[in-house]
Amino acid sequence: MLKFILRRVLSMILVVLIVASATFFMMRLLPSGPFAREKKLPPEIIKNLEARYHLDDPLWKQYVDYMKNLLRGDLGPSFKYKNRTVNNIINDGFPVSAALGLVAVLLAVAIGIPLGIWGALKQNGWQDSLVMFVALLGVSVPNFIMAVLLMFIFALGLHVVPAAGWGSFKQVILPAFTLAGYPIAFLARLVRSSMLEVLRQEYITTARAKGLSERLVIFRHALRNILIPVVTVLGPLIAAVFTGSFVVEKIFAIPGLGRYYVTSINDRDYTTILGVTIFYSALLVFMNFLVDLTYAWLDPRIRYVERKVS
Amino acid sequence: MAANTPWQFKEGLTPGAGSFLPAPQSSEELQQFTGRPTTYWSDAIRRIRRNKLAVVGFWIIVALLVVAVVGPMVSPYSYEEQDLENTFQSPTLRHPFGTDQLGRDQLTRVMYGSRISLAVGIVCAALNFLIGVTYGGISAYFGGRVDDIMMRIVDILYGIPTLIIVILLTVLFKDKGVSPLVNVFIAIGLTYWLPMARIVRGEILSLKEREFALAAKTIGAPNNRILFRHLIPNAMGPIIVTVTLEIPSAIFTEAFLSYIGLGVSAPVASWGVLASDGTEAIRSFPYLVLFPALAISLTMFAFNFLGDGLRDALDPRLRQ
Repeated sequence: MLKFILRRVLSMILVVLIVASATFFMMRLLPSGPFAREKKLPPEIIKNLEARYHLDDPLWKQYVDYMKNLLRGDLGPSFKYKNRTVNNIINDGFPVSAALGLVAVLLAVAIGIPLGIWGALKQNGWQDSLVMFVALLGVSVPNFIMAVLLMFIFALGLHVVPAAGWGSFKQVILPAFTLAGYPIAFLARLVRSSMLEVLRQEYITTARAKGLSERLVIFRHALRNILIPVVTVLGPLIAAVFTGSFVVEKIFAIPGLGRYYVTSINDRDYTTILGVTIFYSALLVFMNFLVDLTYAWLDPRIRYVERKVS
Repeated sequence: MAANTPWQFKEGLTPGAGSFLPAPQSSEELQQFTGRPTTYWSDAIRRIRRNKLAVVGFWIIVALLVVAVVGPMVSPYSYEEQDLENTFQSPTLRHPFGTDQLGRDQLTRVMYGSRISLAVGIVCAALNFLIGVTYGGISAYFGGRVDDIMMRIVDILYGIPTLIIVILLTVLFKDKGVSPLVNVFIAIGLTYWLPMARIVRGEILSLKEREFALAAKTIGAPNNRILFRHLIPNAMGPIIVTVTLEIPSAIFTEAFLSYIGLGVSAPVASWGVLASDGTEAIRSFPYLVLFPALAISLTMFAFNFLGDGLRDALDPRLRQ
């Protein structure tokens, strides 16, 4: 297990370094410099600006400096906002995004898994069709459309929740459901199909033959085995929640990292794009690592295989 | 033959001695009784026809294609024609979907948008197909160290949210002066092939151990012939399913990019642009966002329905 963790940690660091380097050079490849505005700046000012952000150093030196700072956790200044660093922006935005994302993931698990189980238990009945239909709906309706529709119905139509903003519990509901839409649908489908597979296994027949109640069979014997595929998709689901936040935070006017990210892209605030991209990748790689650990812990077969390989 | 079919009994024909036929002598004759031999594909088509949702999805897609091609041609308005005296019209007979903030006919714009969305879906799926199949095929066929390195690269790319890569590529190419639509093609086409590569690799890994692959090798077929003529056609089922399911994600990504202002932009009407414009006016003119929203959702629906049906029909491992 220790070897497994060590190897994963090394590969995690490698991935983040590769992403950081690739993004760094990509940002430097851009033809228009960060200070290209509508109004042309005098060359002296551009020179001063470049000196301030060390853009006049040779490229390799800029890269080495950036990487050095990155290792210390310093993502540098923002090009757009004087006196703000990329770290400031992440510190401001991430807690908001994380809170919203957490609620969305919890919603997805709390709704998606029971829906899937329900569908599987009533296989081929109308309940099953309903679950599959809802799941397909959730996968097919893009999150920005979902956001607009929910806002239109519940905020502008029924006036049960505020349309936008951040700070009160009521303002979390709509964006959280929007973000959870895709994960709910995805989990419901996954849980349904794995449940159907598990229910055909012999140990379920055995459990039933022992005379266990249906509830015990489902919740004790079947559910545990469904959790493994669910855990494996948590990584991509978390990613979906992150990237979903780009547009959801914009629509609901939530001061989260996703919105800052999109703003920085439209502003061509290269250092912020670079820094936040690295942050996102590091976060996601770390989440995937946690998921893998949970996975190995849940399923002893995986630990065994990993050990044999390494 | 025809005299023996059951419905003719009902019409009063009693089965007499003359209606019995001798047992078939040749395999051609036998086939007249058993029907054509079922192949993998005819079997799949039969199964997909029984799946109502998939059939509905298929016809929606056909209808969308027709609307995309014919719609803008027969419409009396053009997608960019402004009519500043008739802005924000509610839906009427003249403008069934109403008009937008510049008086442009929303129906024409939505129909025009379907061209862009379908083009994005098809071009990106084709790019993903080419890259993913080639990459996965080569990785699996040559195996060993080649496979290790190629799959490690895929693992690394998998670690980054696809949308972030797409956004970065879009920013890069946009500032390089590539036209927005081509930019979307490139950005999506270059990033969404990862699942395809993995699926093809998995298929080829098992297929290359089969006898027909060995047979091809023994008669001296070159590697690329074995891979592209023998192995990949046998993996076509899962490949088609993956392509069908990648089309809606490409369409979604384009709409998403245009929505946040990175994809195609005005006056060109993509569904993402229309939805974005509509959102700004949602409080006063909700129908403006309604129609593009319906169009996007319906399209994604149709492709997902069809993709699901295809998966059930073509992927024998999922057969129940």
